[in-house]
Amino acid sequence: MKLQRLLHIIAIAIVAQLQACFVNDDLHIENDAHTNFDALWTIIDQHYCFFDYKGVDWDSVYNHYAPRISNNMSEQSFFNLCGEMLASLQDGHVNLSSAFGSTYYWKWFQDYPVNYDERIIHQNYLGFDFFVAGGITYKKLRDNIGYIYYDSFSSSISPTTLDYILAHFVTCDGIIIDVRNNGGGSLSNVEVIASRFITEPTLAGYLVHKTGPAHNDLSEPYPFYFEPAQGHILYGKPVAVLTNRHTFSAANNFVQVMKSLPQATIIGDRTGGGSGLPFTYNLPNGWNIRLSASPILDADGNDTEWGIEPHIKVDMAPDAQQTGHDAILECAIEHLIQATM
Amino acid sequence: MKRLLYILALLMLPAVALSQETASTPQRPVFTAVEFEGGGGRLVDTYLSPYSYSGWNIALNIELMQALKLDDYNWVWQQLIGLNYGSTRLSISGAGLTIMGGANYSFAMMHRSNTPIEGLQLYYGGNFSLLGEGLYNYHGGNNPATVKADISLGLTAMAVYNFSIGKLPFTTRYQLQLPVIGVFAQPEYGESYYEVWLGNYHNFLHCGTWANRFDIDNRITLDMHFGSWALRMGYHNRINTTYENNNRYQLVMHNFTVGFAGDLLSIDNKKSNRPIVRALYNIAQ
Repeated sequence: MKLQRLLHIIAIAIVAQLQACFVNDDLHIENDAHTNFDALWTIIDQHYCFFDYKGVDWDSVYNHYAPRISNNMSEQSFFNLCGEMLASLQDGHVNLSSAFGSTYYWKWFQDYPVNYDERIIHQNYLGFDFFVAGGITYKKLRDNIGYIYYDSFSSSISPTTLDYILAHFVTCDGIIIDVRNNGGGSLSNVEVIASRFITEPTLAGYLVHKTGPAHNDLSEPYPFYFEPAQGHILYGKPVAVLTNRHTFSAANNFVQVMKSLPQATIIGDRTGGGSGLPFTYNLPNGWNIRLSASPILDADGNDTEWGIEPHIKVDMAPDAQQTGHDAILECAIEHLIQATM
Repeated sequence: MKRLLYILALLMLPAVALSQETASTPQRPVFTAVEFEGGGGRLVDTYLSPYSYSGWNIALNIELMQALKLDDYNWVWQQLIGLNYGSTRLSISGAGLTIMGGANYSFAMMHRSNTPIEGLQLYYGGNFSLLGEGLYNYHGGNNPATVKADISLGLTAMAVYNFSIGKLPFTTRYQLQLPVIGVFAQPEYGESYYEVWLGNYHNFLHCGTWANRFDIDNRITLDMHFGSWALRMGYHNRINTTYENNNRYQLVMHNFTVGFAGDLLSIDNKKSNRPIVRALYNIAQ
């Protein structure tokens, strides 16, 4: 029995020792406003990727907002104050999400012309008669021009669907791909579409990521390539890509890739940017903070966080609603007609 | 089910391969235990979130052991196969949700030796282990999940003590598994798996030593023998840690175990008088 007792003591000692090895560094953290504010600030400090690019002095932001935090403030007031602080990053990919709402930074598009009116297109250009497949609206327009509208890169498109759409346009002189008001989605869908307009492996851009918590701990740019969609329909005729300020994130990335192709012309307004691949983290209270963590550079190594300039800058007229005229779409049709002459 | 039986059969190939023996050589049954585990755990993975998560986890383990002819049957092999699943929430607030699940496998070769203490045997040797697990945090973004993949060589040791209370035989055991060197996967600090998927494997696989990875596995079991089988109760503690690329991962599990054990390959002493050499302890036939 002595041995048994000894074995028990050894076992208990081992378990206690092992438990002590585990760093319980957040066991004594209080779930209050100060803690959550510090957590929010620190997560961004250590993971956000555009401090230097945007010239944001994050320490001074802390000094400005920290004194305004009180553990007695209401949850909503605290949330709003955090949202105000996050706006200093000027980034549409930065959102604080709670059970009762999310903070957004809208200035990347709200101070610019809307440059898109779905009703005008559906009524005056598509005649309320069009196909919809896999998140894509499409139809042959006048003058033998194909039109594709893709409203979100979150809508997955199957290769088969894309084959049907491109087969529909195979006799067209050119295609318009309208990604206005496309707020992004999955990068893999960017490749699914872009791979139909290339015939050889094409440098699509460079990925950069944080390698440590310091602001300038950034990796060497990693080049990535898109392969042509072998065994599927490829389209080699002229293409016009329509953009506005609400073309953001993965849609911005799509425009970035298409702009590097010789047969593609970008028409419309400067895109909204959003070139940072977003990561998300929990705060101690369960709120989520989404932030730009990994910049995607274009094929020339340039950052497109502030957007991409079109080849042809066109704005819709302020009275477009009255005239029923989409100047950007009209410009694209004319451009493709000219390109095929 | 067929697939499971097929896998079990494959795992027992060493037993089958070594069973072509003469009538005078000892029979070496494969000791088998099936364990169900349940308990609590705590984890931190700063790639997903800087804070710790606590919750429950369950597991299913299978243990196979057999004596080898080496050194007068004083060597044994042991295989451990495990599946586990856990669900955790932020330790601070109970919010958030991270789930984890995976599989592990280890193959050990151990030498056993008697001690001056009656009933006490010591086993010690080396093992090869594989671990494949995934963590998924429901916060979304491009970092919702991370993969834990690990191949390692390590040390293992076991103390087995047989005793009786009244007429009921017991076997209590403590086993330690301690990986020493291996390879594990960990993306860089803020690198997305999308970038890894695109082909950037730079600094993704790491040589795991005690400088950047420390895992330990402790099992304490008590087998109560009831005729040809035994009821197993026990405790299983598992700790996994990696420190690499400025990312920290720590997992601690405390599970209680219940299961049963016995010889998977039946012994037929009526047809054969061959002696029996068991890997762990004697079971009545």
